[in-house]
Amino acid sequence: MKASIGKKPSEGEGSPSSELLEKRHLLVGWWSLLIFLTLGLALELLHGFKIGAYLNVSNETRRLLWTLAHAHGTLLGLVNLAFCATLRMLPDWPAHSRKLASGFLLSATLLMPAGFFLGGVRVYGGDPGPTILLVPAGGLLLLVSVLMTALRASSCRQR
Amino acid sequence: MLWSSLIAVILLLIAVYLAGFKQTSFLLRTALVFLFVSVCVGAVLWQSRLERKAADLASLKVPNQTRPDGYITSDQCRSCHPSQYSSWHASFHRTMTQVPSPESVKGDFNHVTLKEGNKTYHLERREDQFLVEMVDPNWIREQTAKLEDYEAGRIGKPLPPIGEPPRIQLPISLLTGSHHMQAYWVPGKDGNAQFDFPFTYLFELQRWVPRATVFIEDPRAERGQQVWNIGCIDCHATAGQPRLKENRFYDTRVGELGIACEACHGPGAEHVKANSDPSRRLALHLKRKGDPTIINPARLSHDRSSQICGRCHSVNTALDEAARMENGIAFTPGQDLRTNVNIRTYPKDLEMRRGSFWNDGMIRVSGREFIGLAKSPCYLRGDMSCLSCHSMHQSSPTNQLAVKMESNEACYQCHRTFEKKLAEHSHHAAGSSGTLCYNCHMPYTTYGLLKGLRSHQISSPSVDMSVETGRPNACNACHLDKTLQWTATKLNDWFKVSTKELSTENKTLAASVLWTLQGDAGQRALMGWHMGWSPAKQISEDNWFAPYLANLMEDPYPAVRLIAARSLKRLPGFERFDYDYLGSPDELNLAGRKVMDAWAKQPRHQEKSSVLLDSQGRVDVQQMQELLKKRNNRVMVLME
Repeated sequence: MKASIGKKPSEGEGSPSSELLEKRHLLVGWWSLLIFLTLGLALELLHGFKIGAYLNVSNETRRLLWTLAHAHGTLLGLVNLAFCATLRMLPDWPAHSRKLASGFLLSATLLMPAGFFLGGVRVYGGDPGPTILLVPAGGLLLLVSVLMTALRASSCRQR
Repeated sequence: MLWSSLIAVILLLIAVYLAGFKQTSFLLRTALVFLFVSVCVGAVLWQSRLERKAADLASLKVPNQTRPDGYITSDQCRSCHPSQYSSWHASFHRTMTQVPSPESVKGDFNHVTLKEGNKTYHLERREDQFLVEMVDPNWIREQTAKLEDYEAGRIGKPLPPIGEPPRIQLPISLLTGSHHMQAYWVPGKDGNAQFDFPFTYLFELQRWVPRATVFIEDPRAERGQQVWNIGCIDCHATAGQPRLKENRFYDTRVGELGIACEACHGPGAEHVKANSDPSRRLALHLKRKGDPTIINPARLSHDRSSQICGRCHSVNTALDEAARMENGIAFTPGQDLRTNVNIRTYPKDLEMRRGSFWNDGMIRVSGREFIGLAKSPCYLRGDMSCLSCHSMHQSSPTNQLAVKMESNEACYQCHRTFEKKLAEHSHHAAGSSGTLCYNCHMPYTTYGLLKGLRSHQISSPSVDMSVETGRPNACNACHLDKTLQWTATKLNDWFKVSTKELSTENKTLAASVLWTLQGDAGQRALMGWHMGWSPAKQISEDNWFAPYLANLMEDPYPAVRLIAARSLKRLPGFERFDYDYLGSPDELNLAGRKVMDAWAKQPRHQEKSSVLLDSQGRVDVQQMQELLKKRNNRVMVLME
C-alpha cells in the first residue's frame, strides 16, 4: 500500500477508529483553546484589579505557573488541532501506533496545564506545590507522541 | 492542599487510561504504572521537603512581618511600580536586615571555629541553615537580667554561676548589612528575641572579626549582649514595634525587615486598596497629579522630605520611651519628625555629645547626616534637602547620589554663577580636585564604616575651627604636609579670613602630624584614612606617610589600626605588607618596626621639617615620641 501526503483516504484506510481519533482531537483542541484562552482572560482581570494573590512578589511563582498553564494549554490545544489534520494526512499510519500517539498527546494535554495550574495553587516561597510533578510526566508523554508523529511523517515523505 | 492532590491523582489516572493502559502491551503498561508511581512518590517527597523548609524557617522565630495598621510590605508594590521596586531591591537599604539564605549570607560557615578571649564559637552550614554553636545566649541574658534586677534593688545579690556555662547550637535567624560587613543574630527563647552573635564578617578582609573591632569603642571594655528587638529595630526595619512584654518576652513585629518602601512612603494599605480600581488609576494617570493616598517625598517641602531620612539619619531619642518599647516610633512620612522624637542637634548628655559631635556641634559620625544638613545654610536659608543630591530610585546603590550629583552640578543647581569662575574662586587649577566644591565645603570629617565620610554640614575651611575643635579643615585634610599657619595665610590672602594667633607647633608642624600623633581616636582614624585618599596622596607626596601609618598600626583602637594598614598598602613598596590588625601587642609592634625598616630602605627622602623629616630624610623619632606624650587618650565611643 502506498501512502502519500494529502491523499484523500481510500476505503479501508480511513478506518472508523481514525475518524474517531480525528473527532476526539478536534474536540479536545477547540475546547482546550476555549478553556485556556478564558484562563488568559481571567489572568488579565487579575492584573487589571491588581489582585495580590496573583501579583505580589511573594506570589511570583504562582503568577509564573498560571501563565505557563495558560500558555501550555493554549498551545496544546493548537497541537491537538494540528494532530487532527495530521491524522488525515497520514492515512496509512498503523492503528496501534496512531492510537498510542493520540493517547499520549491527550494525556499530555491534560497533565501539563493541570500540573502548572495546580502547582501554582499553593506555593512555598520560590517552590511550587508537589502537583507540579504532573508537568514532567505530561512532558514525557508529549515528547513520545510528537516523536512518533514526526517519525511517521518522515517515513511518508521518504516514500 | 488535599483537594488539589486529589484532583492531581484523578487527572493522572485519566491520563494513564487515555495513554492506552487498557489495550497495550505489558511493557507499556509497566511503563505507565512506573510513571504513575514515580509521580506519586515524587510528590510525597517534594511535599516533605517543602514542609521541612517551612519548619526550619519557623524555628528562626524572626519578628513578625505583619502590622495590622495599614502596612502591607513591599510585596505588593511591584505590580504597579516595577522600576521603583527594582531600584529599591538593588539597594543596601533593602538588605539592611534579612533572613538568612544561601543568597543573603556572606560569611564563611564552612566549619569555622572562632575564638575571642576564652569564648569559642563553631560555625557550620547544614543545607540552607547556618548554625552557630556557642554559650547559650539565653543563659547570658538570664545572668544579665539577674544583675539588672539586683542593681534595681528587686532581688538580693545573685550567686555567681556554678560550672561551665551551657552551650547550644542555634540557627542564624537574622543578619544585618550587606555592603561593608555583615552581622548576625540568633533566636532567643523568649518570644522572638534576637541576640547578637559577637563576630562580624568583614567583606574587605574576607574574614570574621570581633564585632567591637569594627567600631571605635573602648578597646578595654567588654561588649554587652545586644538585643536586636530594641537596639536596631527603629532603623534597621520598617515601622518596627519592639513590644517588650513582662518577663523580657518579645512579641516584636515590623512593617517589614530592612528599610522598605513604606519607610519613606508611609503605610500603603489605603493606596493599594484605592488603586485596585483600574478606572481610578486611569484617572490619576490622566490628571498627572500625585495620589493623595500615599506620600511621595519628592512632593513634600524640603524640610519634611529630609525629615523622612532624618528619622534614622540623625541623632534622636523617643519622646516617650515606654510608648516606643511597645509601639515603636510613631512617626510616619509627611509628619513633622519633631512631634515624635527629640532630634539631638547638640545634646546636653555629655556621653552622647562626645560620641557623636565635634565640640562646636558639628556631627562627626556617619549615619547622622540630617543633623549636618539641618545646620547648613543651604537648608536653613534655601531649599536644600536630601533629595537635592540623592535619589533612592535613580542612583547607584553605593552612595545613592542622583545622576551628575557626584560633580559640581550638585552645587550649581543653586550656585550656577561659580561655574565660570571656579578656578578664580577656589584658587586651584581648573579640573583639579581642589575645584570640586565637595572637597572644600563637605570634607571627609565624618567617621563611620571604617572610613572617612563627607560632612553633610556645608561649611568653609576655618583654621580657628580646627584649633578649637580638632576637626580637620578641608585644606589640611588634603595638604597633609602643610601647617595650620600655611592654611591661615592662604585663607587670609585669598578670602580675607583672619585667624587667631597660632601656637608654635601649629606654625611649624603639619596639622596632619599633630592630629595623627596627638588627636583622639576619631581624629587618628580620619588621618589614617586621609593618608590613603588619592587627592591627598597626590598633593602631599605620600613618601613620608609610612612612619605615621606605622604608628597608627600600633594604635590601641583596632579600627584605627585597620584603616592605617589599608592606607599603608596603597603606598609604593607596601602593597603586600603582611599585617593582622588583630595581632598581639608584640606582633603589632613588630609590624610597626618592619614598616619603619622598609621605609628607611627606600630611596632617600627629602628634608621636610613640617613632617619631622630631617636633612638626611630620616624621621625625627624623638620628637614623634615627645608629641605622642601629649596624645588625647580619652576613651572614645563613636556612635556611628
